[in-house]
Amino acid sequence: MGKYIWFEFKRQIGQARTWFLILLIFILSFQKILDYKTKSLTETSAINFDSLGRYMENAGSRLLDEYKDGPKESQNASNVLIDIGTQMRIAAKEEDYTEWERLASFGYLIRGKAAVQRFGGLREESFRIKSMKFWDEVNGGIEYEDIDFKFGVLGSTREKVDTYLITAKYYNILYKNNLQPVEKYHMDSMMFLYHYFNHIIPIVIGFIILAIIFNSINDEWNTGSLKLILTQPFSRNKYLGSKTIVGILISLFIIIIPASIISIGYGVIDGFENYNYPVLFMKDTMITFKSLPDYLEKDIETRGYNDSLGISLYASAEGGDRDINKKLDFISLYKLLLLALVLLVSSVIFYVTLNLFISSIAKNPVIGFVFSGLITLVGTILSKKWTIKGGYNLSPFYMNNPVRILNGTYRVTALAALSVLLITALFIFLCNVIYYRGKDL
Amino acid sequence: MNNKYVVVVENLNKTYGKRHILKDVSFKISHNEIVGFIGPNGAGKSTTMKCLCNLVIPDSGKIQICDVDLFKEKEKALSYQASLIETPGLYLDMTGRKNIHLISKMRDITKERVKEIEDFIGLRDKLDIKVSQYSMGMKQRLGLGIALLSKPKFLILDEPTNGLDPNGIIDLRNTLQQLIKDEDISILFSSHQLGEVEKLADRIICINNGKIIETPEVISERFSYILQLSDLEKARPIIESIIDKEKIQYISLDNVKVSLENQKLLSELLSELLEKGILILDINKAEIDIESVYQQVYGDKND
Repeated sequence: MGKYIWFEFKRQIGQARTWFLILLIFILSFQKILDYKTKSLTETSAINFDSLGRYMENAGSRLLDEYKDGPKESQNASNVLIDIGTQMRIAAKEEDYTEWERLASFGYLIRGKAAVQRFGGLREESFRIKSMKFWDEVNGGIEYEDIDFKFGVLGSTREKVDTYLITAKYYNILYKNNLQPVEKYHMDSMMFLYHYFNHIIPIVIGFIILAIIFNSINDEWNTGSLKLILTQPFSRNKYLGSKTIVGILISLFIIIIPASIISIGYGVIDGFENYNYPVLFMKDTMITFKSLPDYLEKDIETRGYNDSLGISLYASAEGGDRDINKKLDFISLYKLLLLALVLLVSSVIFYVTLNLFISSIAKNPVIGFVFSGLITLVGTILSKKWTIKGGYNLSPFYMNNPVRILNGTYRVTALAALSVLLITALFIFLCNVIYYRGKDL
Repeated sequence: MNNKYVVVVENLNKTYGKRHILKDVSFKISHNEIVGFIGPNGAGKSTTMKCLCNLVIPDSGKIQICDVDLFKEKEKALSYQASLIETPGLYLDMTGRKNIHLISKMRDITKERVKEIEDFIGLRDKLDIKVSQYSMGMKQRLGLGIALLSKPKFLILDEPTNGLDPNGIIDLRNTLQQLIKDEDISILFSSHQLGEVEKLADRIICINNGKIIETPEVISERFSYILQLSDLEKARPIIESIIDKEKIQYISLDNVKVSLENQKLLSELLSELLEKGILILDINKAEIDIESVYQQVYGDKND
């Protein structure tokens, strides 16, 4: 079986169609890169290092106003925040981004503590435990107990506490890994892969696999080479298994080659320095079937973009989940991309088994192509609206954006996507095996 | 292998919708036997052969190849056989050599055997051009070579002369005859051309309307010879010791007609007679009347 797989894989690689598809993905990728560069030049809402410093100064001033007749410790704590904001602006001016990130992380921790002290008790203790993990890394010698707002901040909410905490964590990771916050249209070796999985592959995956697989079996039947193989001591199950494996390998080859070449091209320049970049993701995505509501779409609709890599932190957006920040965590970009690859492989397996089954049934490759194409097209279009109670979408045609799935904002979790894709693929494969076992050739 | 038969087919049945294509087809093929398989179009020849090589799944019946049940141990049974069904199944977008190498790798064939088969195919430098540019004769040779790579015990050839020019047909005939001499192999081949079947086959199986029919007498007597001998009385015990009495017909005082199971027996008989000092004055082969064969084989086609 291994020998046949290797032979068939080499045969597929030698075909002009394979290289045409690779070229097509290259063109789409370059178009996306150019589009991003254009947006990067024209967009004015890039992260402004000075403005975040000013934001901290203002927040500190408001707290100082609030505590002007209050305890001295609270006034001191407010002054610390003002000072952090001022130092952030100096660091921005001197382009000392490492220091700026340390200060930003510390500033958000102070804001978080101010907010949580409004509630006190267990919630405050929980915040202390969570924040102490990185407080000492960014505090500049100021101990946790030295910051004390006594009664907290008026108008504090639990959501704000979680938001400050996770934002502090974000800047802490950047600081520790000596990374710069990326602009939303930034493109480098690792960021390209992120956008590749997020914006290019979901659009083309179904049609790439259709183009590779549509005549995989019926063409062999028509040219007679199927007879050559099946009259050898090589069972039909092994034949279908081999075809499936080759289909998966060649699809991944076509998808991975352009991504690798472009990413390595960028990597020669940037040294893959962003491999550890923090990406927001739904931390339970691999162990739960319950996804987060898809409010990210609304965020993009109203703001035009998503601020951070991964999920939006604007939980207060219409339809947003107020407890969202509790469900989020950071993951290194390279880890997210590896997980995305696992999901992508599942998606590839689904499309390959589907197209192979149709190629087994339809003796005429043209009819097979039209039939498979229609199923892919209709499946993709209809499944976008195909949601069940609770806003979940369990259509396998919908699960072709691994990055969004991992973020948890795609109406499906990674666990649900893996389960649906693999179970559906297994079911289709078994149908094909049963059908082919009794088929007269 | 204990059984004296290489292939045993029992009660093979196959229906397509309401059409009963094979009706209790049964036959056996012995070691080193070349069996011709004849019948009109749609009689069930190809379907039977496709059942034998696992391309068509019968509704019921049993097929044993070298004592191995094809439906219980498919891969093992198929390892003993090779086939060329209709046009040779080849990868047209690959060279002949790559086609050979694919099967040789799949079946762990030694390099020596591959070299042997490449010589046998005889296409030399044409092995390195794409199969799509081959003539039908070249494809047949390549297909046959690939089929023989694994030294099969049983070879199935469905209409091997189709699409071949007269030279190609002669070439194929010589190849198959050489094959029987060189390799331990049994062959089942079908053809419309009765002349070819007659020249090659040791035995003929006839099929019509999906049923194996009794071999027409005229075919079973295709190795019939009329001998004119100098002393028939003296020759009588010699002839009767070699040939069954019912297959001997004394025509006149010096003429005798003998029906032989195969051509080898003729050589044996003639040697014996000459050794005993009996002169062979004349020898005539009884010609097959093709029309009568067609009438007997195909006569009930519309019954």
